[in-house]
Amino acid sequence: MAVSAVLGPKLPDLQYLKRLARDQLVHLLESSPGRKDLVIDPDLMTPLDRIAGASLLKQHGVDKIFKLDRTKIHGGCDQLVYLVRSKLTTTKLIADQITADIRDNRKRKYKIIMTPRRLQVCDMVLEHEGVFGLVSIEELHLDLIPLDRDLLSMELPQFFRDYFLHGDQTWLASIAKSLVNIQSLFGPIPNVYGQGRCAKMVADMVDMMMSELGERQSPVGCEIGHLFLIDRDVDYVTPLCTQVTYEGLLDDIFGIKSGSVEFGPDVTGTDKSIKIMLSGEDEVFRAIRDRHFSNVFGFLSAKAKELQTSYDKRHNLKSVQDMKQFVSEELSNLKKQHKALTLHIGACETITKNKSRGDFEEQMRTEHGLLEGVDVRECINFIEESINRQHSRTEVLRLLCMLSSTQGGLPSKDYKSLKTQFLQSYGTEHLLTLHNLKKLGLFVEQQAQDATANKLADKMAAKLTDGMASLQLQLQLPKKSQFRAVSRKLNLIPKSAENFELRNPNDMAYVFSGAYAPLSCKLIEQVLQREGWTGVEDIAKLLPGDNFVHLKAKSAKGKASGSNPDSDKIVLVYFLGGCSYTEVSALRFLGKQKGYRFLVATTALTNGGRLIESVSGWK
Amino acid sequence: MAGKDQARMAAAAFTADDEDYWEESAVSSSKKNMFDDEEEGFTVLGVSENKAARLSSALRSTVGADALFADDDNDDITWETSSNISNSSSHGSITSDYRSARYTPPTNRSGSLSTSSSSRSTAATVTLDNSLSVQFNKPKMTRSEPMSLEDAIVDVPAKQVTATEVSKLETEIQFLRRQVQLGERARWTSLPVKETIKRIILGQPYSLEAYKSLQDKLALLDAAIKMHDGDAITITVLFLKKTVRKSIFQQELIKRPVAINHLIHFLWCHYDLDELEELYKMLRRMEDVFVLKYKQALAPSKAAGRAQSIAAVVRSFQHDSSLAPDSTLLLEQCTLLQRQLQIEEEDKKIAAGGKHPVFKDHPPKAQLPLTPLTTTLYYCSFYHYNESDSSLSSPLSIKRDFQMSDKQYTWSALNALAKLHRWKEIEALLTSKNWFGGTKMKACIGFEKVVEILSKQKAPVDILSKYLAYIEDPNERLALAAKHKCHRIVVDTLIQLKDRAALEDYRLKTPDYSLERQYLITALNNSQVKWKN
Repeated sequence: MAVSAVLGPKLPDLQYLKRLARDQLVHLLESSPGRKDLVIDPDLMTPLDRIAGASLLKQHGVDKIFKLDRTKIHGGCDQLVYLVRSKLTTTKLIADQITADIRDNRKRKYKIIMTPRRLQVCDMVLEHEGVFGLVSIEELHLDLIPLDRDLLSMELPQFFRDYFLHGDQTWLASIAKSLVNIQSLFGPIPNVYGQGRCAKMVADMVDMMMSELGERQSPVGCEIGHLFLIDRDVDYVTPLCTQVTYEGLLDDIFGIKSGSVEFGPDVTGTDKSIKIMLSGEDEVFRAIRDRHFSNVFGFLSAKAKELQTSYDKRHNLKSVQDMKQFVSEELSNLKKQHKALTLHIGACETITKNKSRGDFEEQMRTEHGLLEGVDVRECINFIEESINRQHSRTEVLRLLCMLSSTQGGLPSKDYKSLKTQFLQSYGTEHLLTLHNLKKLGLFVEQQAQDATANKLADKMAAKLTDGMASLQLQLQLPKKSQFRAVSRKLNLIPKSAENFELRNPNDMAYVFSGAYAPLSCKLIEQVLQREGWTGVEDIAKLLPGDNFVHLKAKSAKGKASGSNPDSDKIVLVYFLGGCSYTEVSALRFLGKQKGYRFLVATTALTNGGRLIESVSGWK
Repeated sequence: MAGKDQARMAAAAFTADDEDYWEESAVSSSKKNMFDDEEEGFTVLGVSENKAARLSSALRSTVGADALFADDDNDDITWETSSNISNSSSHGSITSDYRSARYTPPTNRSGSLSTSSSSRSTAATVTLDNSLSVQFNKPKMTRSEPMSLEDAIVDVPAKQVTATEVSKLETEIQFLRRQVQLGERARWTSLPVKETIKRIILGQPYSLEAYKSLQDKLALLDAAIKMHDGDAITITVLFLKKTVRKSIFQQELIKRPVAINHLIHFLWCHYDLDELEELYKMLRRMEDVFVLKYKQALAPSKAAGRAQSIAAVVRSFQHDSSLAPDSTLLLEQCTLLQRQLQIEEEDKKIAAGGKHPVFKDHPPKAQLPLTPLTTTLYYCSFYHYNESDSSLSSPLSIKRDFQMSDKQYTWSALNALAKLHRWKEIEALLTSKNWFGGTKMKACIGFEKVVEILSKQKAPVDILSKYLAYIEDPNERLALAAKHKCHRIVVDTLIQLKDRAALEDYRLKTPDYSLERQYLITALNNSQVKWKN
């Protein structure tokens, strides 16, 4: 794997997005002069860290900063600014606080800054609560936040629940808008591919918004050649798998929040916790982030030796001049690397400890069995045992969903037995969670195959008399993802799992120990290669939602003079509903293999645990 | 992986130092690692634990670890100080003085899609000055120095206005006047539905009050659905709901699944649960009604109250056969809650008596009520193992009444007994009688798991050996026996495998002058074994 400098086409500079958001925030703060107290939505705390720090806010008139919750806001200023996600519940909370102020005879000016957009329903709630006249409402267009040179996130984890579980399309406009912004900065993207219902709607909305903007005379050339929109429900299996790349493991075990991770005392070896930013700017991290975990430690070990040699140089310094150079140039760099190295080795240690406890091996065997479709009975037994032993609920649910998603639902008998035992071990209250998972199609019972044609016809007739309500029902039932068939057609399972080369991988499946290549990424590979869906129709047919493609003719004179000649090799992949770090790694690998550079955008970074937790019905 | 779950916490809290009971040991460390295996000792994903620890501590000691992290934490996330904030606030700002009757798309210099959220002007008023002033600006050259910025802007070369130009301008004035009039009227008539929805999406001022006919209202809703914006769909569906009779609303809503989704989500977020229930019923989505009612029934935080409210849900759905399986689950929950309350009441008395050895040594640390069934079974196995199965708190009666499997029972009972070091009772638990009155050892969870649990609770070697012997696969048995230092089992297994070389190697692992060493040597000298090497 290429460790050294980044090769290939140059990526557009995503930091512009950060600057724009920051400037807008400053403008919003400055637009009402005087000191003000700021109340921040807890959901926005970490993402906002990437855009503006506390000191920046203080420079622009912010006095005290509060977290939005049920407690009363004191603070000494006569202006109160709320910076929140536009949500009904949040708006109601703000309305309640204002009402409480009125009761206490407290007079202040209120401003609500909603991000990513001002919602009319929120206006309606404020109107309903009788406080509309007391507040001024602004919007902050904080949509895609650059987390790295090739990674953008809306940091909107609730989108998954809102859209895929409840069918709420409120965030779609903001997603579309983020794409419009990208295109106004980096030029129109000529080729657009998509898979899924949401992808199609977003593409429609982007078209509408672009036509509202009209023909632009901006000198911006086209820097991004392709856009791929993909719905999360096209591939649930990949994020459900246990991650085994270094960055994936960091996320699974420590939890990466808006691109930063907090290492506890067990990693730092001191009694303090340290929070670090994970980014490609860190040379050590860049070299190991995408590797399979088995291939990380050797590298760190070699690097440590190298570092020692560099340190040892100080003993051989001949002159004061040399000494000066060493101290001024090399030492700080060495120290920086030393620090990074110590932390990553500490993290490796914790990961190893974590995975050697418990039945990690059996769990991996189970996951691989499910992916491959072999020894399924044994896999079910393992899951049942985990339930009986009351292992982590989220982990068990993750395996149950993997089982159901890979097998296309469970046979009635297994479904009922696992469901009952699950509720017995974790509490009947979790019926609410199972209900949500069923709605999502993540944990479902197979439809009886033996129903005679007659019975089926009867059912159809009954459904028809039920009128449109049944239509509704059909729409809610997700199209069964035929994982097995898709897996065969896309060659997701490598033929020889033995002797799989994990150190110098030549197959994307290395990200899952050579057992499985991510469906989402393989699909993207196929479609990019063919510049469309021709030739992969039989695969697309098996996936939920429709697919589409808009290609701009290459010969068109639309190619502006300022165009980046590499743009055809720059691909923006937008995951609607979240993507995992493993998928990002797989795309980076694909890029190296085929000469593309991938930019990954997503509504949020996710993993198996967070995906399951986000649709939980009971805590 | 987020946090420990309730069930586990509750279970672990019953007894002091119970944590390790739920911790699971590695199944077998000597198995071939699936990823990579070049290191000695335990490896995970190809990384040796020991090696990692060694390197890590070596690195830390090079420079004191504290010193290493003490200063210049330039990678840390802080509320960063940033001084280079440009004061250009223009980006994405408002350019919205074009409020013409004919809708014009916003022209934005900065390129990003700007919305004029702060402008509260109404949709259809016209300001002519902008468009006309430019045309009629006569160059004002009268003023002399100093020239202000403003002068500079209007300072365009003088131009003779021709007659055709004048007439052209006059026509334009006429046109714009008509537009003004149209615009004034338009304030009270409706924009095309698509335009209104666009305005909602782009965050521009809009008004729905002009849509008076049912046709218009429906067209508006359909336009919102067609343009996919959730906010617009919610607003228009609520508008329809507010302005037409209920029966009409329902009749139209039922044809629009996307609108239904948005209304439901709105009602959820708005806590209009009664209305939500009514809506589900109208749509005949009984499973959703059931789930909603169940969720509400879980509100009481006390076991008794919750049992009552759940029972009420079960009663109200008893005639719905499609929900029978889930109703049964709820009924079981009620039964369990009531039983937990009864057991707890009894146990309080027993504990207060101070006679019961288990209660005395391990007083319960958490409440039994509201724990899951499996936890309850563990609790009863722990405190009430030997009670007759007519007692409410007997684990066997719980297994029977809740139709739990042998495996479920064995896990709970074994864990509880092992925790209490009651080895005799464990033997009885794993002994099954056959038809002829003979006995046989049997573990439905597998003897390797039995060994695992017992070793966690520090069972003596002879106890472990007894169950190790029942593990069928000799290689698995060998690995586990070696791990737990059950030397006799290792020797026996190596004899079974006819592996003399391995036995030879194992000699040094046995303690000097011990019976086990003696046993091993005897085996090596056994001429009856047909060694394979």
